[in-house]
Amino acid sequence: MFLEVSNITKKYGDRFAIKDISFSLEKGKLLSVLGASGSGKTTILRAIGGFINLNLGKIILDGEDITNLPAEKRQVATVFQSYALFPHMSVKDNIGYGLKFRNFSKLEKNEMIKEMIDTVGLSGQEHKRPHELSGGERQRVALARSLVIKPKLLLLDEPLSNLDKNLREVLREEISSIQKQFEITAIFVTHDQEEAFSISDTVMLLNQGELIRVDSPVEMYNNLEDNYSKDFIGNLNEKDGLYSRFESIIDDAEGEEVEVVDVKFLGERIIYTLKDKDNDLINMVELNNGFIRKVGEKIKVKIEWKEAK
Amino acid sequence: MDRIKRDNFLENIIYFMVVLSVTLFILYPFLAVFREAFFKDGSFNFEGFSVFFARDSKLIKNSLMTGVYTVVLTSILSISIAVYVYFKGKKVEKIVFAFLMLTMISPPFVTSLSYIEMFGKRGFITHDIFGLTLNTYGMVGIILMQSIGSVSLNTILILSGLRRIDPNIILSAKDLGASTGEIIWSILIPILKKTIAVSAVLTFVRSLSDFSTPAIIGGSFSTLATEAYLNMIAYGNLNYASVINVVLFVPAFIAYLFYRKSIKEELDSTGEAHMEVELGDKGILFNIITFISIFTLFWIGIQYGGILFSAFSRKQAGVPYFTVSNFIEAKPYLSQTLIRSLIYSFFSAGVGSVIGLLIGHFLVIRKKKLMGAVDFVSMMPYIIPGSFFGIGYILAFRSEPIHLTGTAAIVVLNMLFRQLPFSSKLGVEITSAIPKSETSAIRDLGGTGFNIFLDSVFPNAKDNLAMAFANSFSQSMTTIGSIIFLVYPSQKVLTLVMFDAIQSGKYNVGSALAIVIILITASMNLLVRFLLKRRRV
Repeated sequence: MFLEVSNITKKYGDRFAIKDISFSLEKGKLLSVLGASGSGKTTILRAIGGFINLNLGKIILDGEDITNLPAEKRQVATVFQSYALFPHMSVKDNIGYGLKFRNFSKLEKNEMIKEMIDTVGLSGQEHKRPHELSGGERQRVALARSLVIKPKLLLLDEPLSNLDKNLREVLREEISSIQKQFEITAIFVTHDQEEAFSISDTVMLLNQGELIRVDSPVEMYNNLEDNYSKDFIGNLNEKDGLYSRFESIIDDAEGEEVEVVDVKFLGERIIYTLKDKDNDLINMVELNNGFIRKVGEKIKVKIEWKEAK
Repeated sequence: MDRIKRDNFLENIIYFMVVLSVTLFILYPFLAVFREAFFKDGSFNFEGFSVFFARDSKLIKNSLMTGVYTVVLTSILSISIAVYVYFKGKKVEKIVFAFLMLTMISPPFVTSLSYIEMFGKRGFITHDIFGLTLNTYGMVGIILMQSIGSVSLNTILILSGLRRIDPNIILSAKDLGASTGEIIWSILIPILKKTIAVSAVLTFVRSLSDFSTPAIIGGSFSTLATEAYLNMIAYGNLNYASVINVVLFVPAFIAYLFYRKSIKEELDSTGEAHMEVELGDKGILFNIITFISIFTLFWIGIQYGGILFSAFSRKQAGVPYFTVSNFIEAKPYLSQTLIRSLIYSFFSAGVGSVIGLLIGHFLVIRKKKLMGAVDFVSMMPYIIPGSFFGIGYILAFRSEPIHLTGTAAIVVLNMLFRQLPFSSKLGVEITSAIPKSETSAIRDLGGTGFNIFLDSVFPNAKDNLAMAFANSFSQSMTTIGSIIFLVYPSQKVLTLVMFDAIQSGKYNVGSALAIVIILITASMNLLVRFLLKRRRV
């Protein structure tokens, strides 16, 4: 495996920030680290980036043990949540900063910087200072600054969380396409499941410093294996130890009869609260196709109950 | 009168008093110096300046040179210590700050006294240990002592600048391959440029206006400030003293305008909270910084150790022995002045802190029209030389309508308004930090501006106010710059009798008095901290 992380552990006082985390990642793939705040996502990233000393564990990148290597010697680059651009430098100097410490001629450096500026769509902004840029542009500078040094591993620490929703989706796609174009191996930290599912080959779910599960997005969503995933991922109904997703409840003339007791209109979707024959409440979600059910209406639905493994 | 009318009336009276007091006790004395320097018998007169430029213009060179060298040395020392502390973390910070606090809470010329005792002609280190008889009086000594005096405040300013930098910026540079040295050189120092410039400006002005250090260890080397002091105290030449102070004022005022501009920009920028990261502390540059920091602290240690040593020792045939007789001899100096100093400092610090908060209230929250000007004027004593401020008081209050010469009031008022910049800066910071929604809520629920002050500003400010009080108290206990011109024998305070003792060659007694002053200011600071800590638990 290109990246192998085994048993990494970090304690602050008596509290475990991360505990015994192991995973691996193939070259050119993107892994999302998903978890609530305080779950240890950023700690994992900082450990791989070389910003904190681990109490225990080993990190091997491309066959080299980098566990005890300082950050400046690791071929790993981080895009920080706050972008961490150098405020006193232009866009060009920000992007070129890491090249100062690598042996390239001036010509080569300029060439590389220019190519990177074009890649992230910042042409014409070279001489601006960070404070003159929009949030999205800053994000692009941060990404370019990390990519230009051609790291073996790119770490992205909630890079989209400071942007508004539409821009977030645009940049998500850009990051994804740049990652594939450069065939870069990357770890993407987020608390947003949709973001994690849409961008990654593999998702790792964390809770309170412990690894819950590593799997493909589809498996992670469709086959729940543990109580934490059940609570954290997607929305579901529970009954007698079984679960069913909101969206898996569908219209079916052969199904069981329920009564609509509440309607939540969310724009593209509508969530209906239904009462079944045992007087239990169940939620169902439907896309807004122009037809909206009314409170009190009796409908027939098929409910597929699944068992968490 | 209904409640709202009554409150508004009261608030307006207080507002009026704040404006009036700042005008009367800062602006008016300030203008009085100009009047004295430029006018004689009611007509414009440039005579004093012609005499000055013909006779004493070399003083400008002396002052500027001393100032520039002090700025360079202080900047190197304080940047080093601040960066060192920043990389080393909380534990080191505590130890370093204990040292730095010493220079903040002791009279400004204490180190000069120690310098004579340790490195002078009969200095303990130069003469007694190394057998040298050096003439260490002159510019070099002044630069060294002024730098030691300024290094603490500058370190604190620069360190708070460092703390405002998003730590991820440092991690990011490291991540891209920068070593610790490169991070310091290509990231931290350029980002801190403005903070460093501000602290350099403050140091420069302090150096320009400091007369006590050159008076004690300058020997034949004289500066503008010392000459102004001598003209006032020794020759009683108010006109010429005013002329010199006006000359001193020019660079100081330019510096002040620069300072105002920079501070504004600084207040506008906010950084993330400091977080625990391992920054890494290696490399040649960091080693140099470590060396400079430790050397400086060691040096401060020696100087203050010297005070302690000289307070508890006397020499017999060149050999020092332990004694408490210095303290016994210091008793007559203390008997009158101790209580008086405490009362003066208490009063000026207490009232000053409240006025500072009121300025913040009227400026930031109430946005009163005149407050921009009041804020500008209230900050002036920060940068105008102490002698300027002292002479201004003599000139402004020597005759009707406000005749205060020789009273205790003139001394206390002078202390109070000289410390006002610290309090009003803090007042503005405190009130700026109060969320606008909080004050809006009070008004929305029927509260008046008066209620905003009592129910929002004041409770929010309590802890900071206590710190401001402790700080002003220390400043008042250790000030000499301006009150030396105002005090009659019946109002002498501790710093002045200590200055007298040193000037008349009683170095050991001076040291004993220094110890007393340091003990008082240190106790006050520790007491306030202790009370705040206990309240928080």
